[in-house]
Amino acid sequence: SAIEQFKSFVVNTKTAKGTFVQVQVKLVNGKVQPGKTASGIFKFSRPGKFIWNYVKPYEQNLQADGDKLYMFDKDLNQVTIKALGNAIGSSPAAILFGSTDLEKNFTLKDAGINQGIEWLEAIPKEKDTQFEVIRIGMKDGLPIAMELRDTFGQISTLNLNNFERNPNFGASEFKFVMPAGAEVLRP
Amino acid sequence: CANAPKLSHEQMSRTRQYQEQITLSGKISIQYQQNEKTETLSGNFDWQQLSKELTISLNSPLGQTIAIIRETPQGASLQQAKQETRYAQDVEQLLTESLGWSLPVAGLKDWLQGFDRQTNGQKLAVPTKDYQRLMSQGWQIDFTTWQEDQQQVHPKLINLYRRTEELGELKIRIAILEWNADQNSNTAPVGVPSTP
Repeated sequence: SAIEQFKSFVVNTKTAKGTFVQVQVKLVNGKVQPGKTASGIFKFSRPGKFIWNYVKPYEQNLQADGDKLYMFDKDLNQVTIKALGNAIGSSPAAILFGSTDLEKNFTLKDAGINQGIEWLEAIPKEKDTQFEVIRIGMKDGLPIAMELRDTFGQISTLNLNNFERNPNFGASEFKFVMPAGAEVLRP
Repeated sequence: CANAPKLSHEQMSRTRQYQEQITLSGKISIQYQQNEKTETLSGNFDWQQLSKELTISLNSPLGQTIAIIRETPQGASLQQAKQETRYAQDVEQLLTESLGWSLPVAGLKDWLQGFDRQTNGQKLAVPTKDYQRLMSQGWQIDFTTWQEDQQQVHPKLINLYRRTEELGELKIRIAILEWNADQNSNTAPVGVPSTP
């Protein structure tokens, strides 16, 4: 089942890297329209270290070094720094990259199979999250797709490609490098 | 300073038209004070301005809608994740009461396009220069960089700052990334200030 595949993924995949394509489906007065598309790269090292960088159309980097979450937006030329703890609580990052006991933050439910992909649903237990439900599509033991539905009913789909399992990363792989000239917003 | 392409002399002296109807989107970060601590919100925004109605949506980087702010002749509404929609007559008062910070929505209708409203209500184009500063409606607005889209020169990076007794310091940074003025919009006649 999807949940079994996912649990073994979490246990057996300590690190990973790959690329992602995010497509936002916009609900415009009831009509479903393909909205914005963005793509980039991801890396993670469990627990609590990840890089989620949008390359196109606009550069925006989310990076967790195990202690802090850094968000650099190139157009705003600003870096926002937050404590990692509650920042990724019930977000896709927590699912893919976070600590192993997912059921602390989510209720998991198998959600059937289609086109060879086994789906599971993760419903955030935490109330004040932007997500209504996060669906994860598993294939050959890897999460290859995610669907993020927010509380306005809008859906973002994520396709994870070029998945490399358990690459070894250098010690400073997840150390955040402050972009020159960027304004830093510290809490 | 930002390595944005510098404006040509022609672009800087071109007469700019205010667009009554326009759709914009970009990045926004808001720094506001909440019980003596500085809080930061940052994400994407969509700004859909029609002649009689305005819709602003604030979204997270992953595309989730955080809030939808609407303003119509009848009043303002604020929809937030998992909360009842709130209504009020004035949009800025609605935001201040619900969020503890506010967007200068009336001002932004002009400033996002690089204009400012005169006391007689007429809109005047701000000089098209990098780091052009404007003081208006209690705000300090820096038009840090400009950009051309659809043959129209418009602000790209805008920094807004205000300090009030009630809300303390409020800093908003906006990067306009998508700009499409509705072709058949009724552009109001505006003059360009005669450079001294």
